Amino acid sequence: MREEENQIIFIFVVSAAFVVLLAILLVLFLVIYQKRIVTQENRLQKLENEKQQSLLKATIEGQERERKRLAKDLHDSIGSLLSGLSFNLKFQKNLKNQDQQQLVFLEEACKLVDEGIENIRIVSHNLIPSTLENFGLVSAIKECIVPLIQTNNLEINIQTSEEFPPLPLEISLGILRVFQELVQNTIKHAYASKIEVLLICTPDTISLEYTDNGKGFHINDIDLYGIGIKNMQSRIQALHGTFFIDSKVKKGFRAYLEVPIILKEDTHGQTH
Amino acid sequence: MTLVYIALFFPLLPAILSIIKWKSMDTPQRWFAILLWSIVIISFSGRLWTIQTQESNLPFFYIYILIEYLILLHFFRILLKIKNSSWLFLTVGFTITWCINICTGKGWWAFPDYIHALEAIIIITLVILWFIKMLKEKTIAQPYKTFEFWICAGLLIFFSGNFLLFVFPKFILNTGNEVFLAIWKVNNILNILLYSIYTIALLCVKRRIR
Repeated sequence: MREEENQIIFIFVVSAAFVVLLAILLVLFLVIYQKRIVTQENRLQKLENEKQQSLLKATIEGQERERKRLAKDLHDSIGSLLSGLSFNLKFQKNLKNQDQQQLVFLEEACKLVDEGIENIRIVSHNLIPSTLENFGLVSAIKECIVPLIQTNNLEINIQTSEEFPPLPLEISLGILRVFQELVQNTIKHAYASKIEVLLICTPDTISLEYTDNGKGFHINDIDLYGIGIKNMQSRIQALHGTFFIDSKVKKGFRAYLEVPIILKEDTHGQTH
Repeated sequence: MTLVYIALFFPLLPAILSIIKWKSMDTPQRWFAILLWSIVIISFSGRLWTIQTQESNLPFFYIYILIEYLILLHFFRILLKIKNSSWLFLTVGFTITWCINICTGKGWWAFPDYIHALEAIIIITLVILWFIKMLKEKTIAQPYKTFEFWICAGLLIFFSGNFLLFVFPKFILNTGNEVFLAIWKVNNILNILLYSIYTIALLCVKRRIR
């Protein structure tokens, strides 16, 4: 081959090699750049999630604080007022020289005021269940189902782990609220006759499995039951837990939640 | 000559792999598998034709270019969600240019020049568009684990490396057959590289979860 031809071959081969090298470098750059921006994006997403999580937690804590204040106000102010009124009415009733009509009226008034006192006691107790703080989650759950069994003709079976370690109040209150919401949903929508609850506690997690034998619903119609379910999800999400529901028409309803037990040094009073 | 045969037989590797992976493939991947088998069939037919008739197999090269272009365009149409009007324009426009190329001058028997360069420009543009899409969407954290990334990387390297050869084939041919054959070795090496990358791409095809 002539010198000129060799030069042409050389130029073509070198040019092609150079372009290939550039293409390879471009591809490598893309891989590294893409990895970097996706990692950055994930980090931002994680920060955003953490922010959302703390907002959610603060909202739930605010709700609980407000419930507590409301319960205290009801008990201490209106409850005390009604107790005073009841005392006065009973005193008035026991006075001598009263006609029959007045006596009937006072008796009726006493009865109504006592009913009011009892109702306020129940409402304030529901707002902040003292049993939870004093005796723990299992007792609080068992306590809150007693009136439901009596008034709704429901059979509720609760099975729990034999050993139940102390839980942070935050976790037990969250689970109790979700349980109350689930029972309310069953009563309002499911027309069930039986509820089964399985509460398992391990050293690391606490799980609750809830099933009813109600009419069930198509899982795509979940929006109809939206707010309650979203509230439950938010509560469990705030506790870094997982929450699943499953239902089929005429096949009842099932919910499962699992929350990691993160023992903090300051748990604001532990439950047993 | 050995290099020519290696380059001829190399597409068989990804083509066979595409049969093994067929069940796990999605629609664009299956189109790609069809492309691989079309390439194998055309390449071997061209070689057999030359052996049988001792004539040039350039007509097969024209068919190869058209089929490669149309299937790759369809592949990118799915990947990039190209509008029907743009896809139609690129398909009809290229096919008309292809027809003009074979109906003018020496036709089938001349080495394809601008038609191959046009194909390279369009494919490189589509590849760059896919890379831009990947960077914009930020959904692929590890691109080197995806089928699409390897296909695009292979096409970019192959078409950019061969670009000078596709743009100036007449000039190279005019300098003499020996020069052309020497430079054509670059094409063979890039072909081997391309089908090796296609093989890697096919190895990235994962079983779909139903």
